[in-house]
Amino acid sequence: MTALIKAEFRKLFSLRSTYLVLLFAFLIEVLFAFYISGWRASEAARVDPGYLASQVFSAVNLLGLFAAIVGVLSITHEYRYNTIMYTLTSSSSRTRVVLAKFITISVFAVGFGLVFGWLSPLLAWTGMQMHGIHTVAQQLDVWNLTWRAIFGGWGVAMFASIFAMLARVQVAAIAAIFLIPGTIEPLLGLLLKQNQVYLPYSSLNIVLNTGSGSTPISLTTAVLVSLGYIIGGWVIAWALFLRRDAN
Amino acid sequence: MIEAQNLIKKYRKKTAVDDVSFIVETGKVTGFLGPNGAGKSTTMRLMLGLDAGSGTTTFDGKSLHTYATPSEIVGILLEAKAFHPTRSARQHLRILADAGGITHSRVDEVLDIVGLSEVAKKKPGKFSLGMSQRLGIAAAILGKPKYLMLDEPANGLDPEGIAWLRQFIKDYADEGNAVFVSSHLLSEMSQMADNVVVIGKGKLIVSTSITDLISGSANSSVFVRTSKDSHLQKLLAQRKLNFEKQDGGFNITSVKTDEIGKLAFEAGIPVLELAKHQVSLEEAFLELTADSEEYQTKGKAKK
Repeated sequence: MTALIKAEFRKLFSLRSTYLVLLFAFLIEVLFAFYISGWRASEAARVDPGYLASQVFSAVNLLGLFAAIVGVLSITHEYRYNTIMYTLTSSSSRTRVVLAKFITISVFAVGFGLVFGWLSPLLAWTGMQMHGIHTVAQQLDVWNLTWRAIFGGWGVAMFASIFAMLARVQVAAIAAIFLIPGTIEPLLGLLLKQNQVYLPYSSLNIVLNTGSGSTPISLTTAVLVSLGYIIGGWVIAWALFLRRDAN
Repeated sequence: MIEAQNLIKKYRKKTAVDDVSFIVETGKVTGFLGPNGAGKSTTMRLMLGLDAGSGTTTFDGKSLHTYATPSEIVGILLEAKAFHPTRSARQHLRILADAGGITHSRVDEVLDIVGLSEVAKKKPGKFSLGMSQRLGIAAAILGKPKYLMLDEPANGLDPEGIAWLRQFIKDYADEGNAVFVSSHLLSEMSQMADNVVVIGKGKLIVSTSITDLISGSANSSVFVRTSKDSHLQKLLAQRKLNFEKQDGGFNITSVKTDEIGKLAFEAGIPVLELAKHQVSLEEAFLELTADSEEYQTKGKAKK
């Protein structure tokens, strides 16, 4: 199992695309957090004690997509370039292959959520300082912000990985990570109304919600709903992975 | 020994592999032949558990996936371009080494064996088909497996590469391993394979040794010339042998030279010429698969 995980990490970090995605995510973070939220911080921001805390969730909301893309690529490249046949004949069990991929993408996504989540308030604060903007004392509930950033980044990457495992086609999986949260869920929301919060991305958004107003479901419920989709999705993906032809 | 039993693969209405069973013996090269679309690649994928189907394949009596490190049991080359085009050749092999619990020093060793050491850091996306095949062979032998399964490994190789591959495969089998190799280059196959498995339209046609395949061909014959034509003709007719008069002698099918020589000697018929006409593997193959061509051409190629 350790050998498979090691191989998965090598796959992930021996590709230019992983570094390009990380670089692109970093540049966007600099643009939004440092420049827009920091350097050009609004008057309202200066008096908001939760301003820097909100930057954590904004970053994960915005950049989670990049973790999702890395998750998609790490799975669909295997099928696109047919390396899946080597992966499967190197292992004594397909279940272990699925588990190794799940663990690798999870570790990457957790690291991604943690680093990019916390880099955002740091960059915003630096931007403000460099432009001579001073805010009121900020409230940073470190543990609360940290676990929610990690869960948010991980959740987005997990949804994407499930699509990739099910579709196995890169274009289809990438289309899914854009269309489902951006089009399909809002459309379904028209039918489901307040029950829309039980949809995958909507429930995950509640975990990353910084609004001071009340949410339709509690944070715990949102986490459980998201986890339900992730666990259910992976179980289906695993069951299909065991039975399908490897191509 | 690899033992494939009752392999079946169906795609909706079409049966791609239809109850195929055969054995790949240790210490020998077994050629896997069949026309285009016969189901060779699908059979190999079924044997490795890559495709879902029915039937069993055992490697030394056990299923591949019961071994803790399958890459030490079987090495595969099913597709030349099975690598990420922007990941270096060395990294590609290191990933396989990691997954199979193989040391990285072995990666450099196999790169050296296949002659790719100089391009180890290059991206294989720009490799020629021949270089890609070499990388595939390097991947196959990485775990020093007892069995090699190679699907068209000679495709794209230059003459030097083909000669190297032929010798490599023969040597690998001589070391007590088994090589199961498919190829359309029948002349190559006849030079390196000990046994052959022939399939057509998903069905097993024959699984035998190359020698038996060729000598058993209906087109194999014995030519005999004598000064006593009428005596010999009468004798052959009495023995109900298939023969025809040709070039001042007799062409007799489905018989061995020894038998004809002995027959003529016992009958006191002087033999002026006795020669065996053995068909090539290609002729034997075409004869066997005449009714199994999935994609037949309309015109006949000139010989």
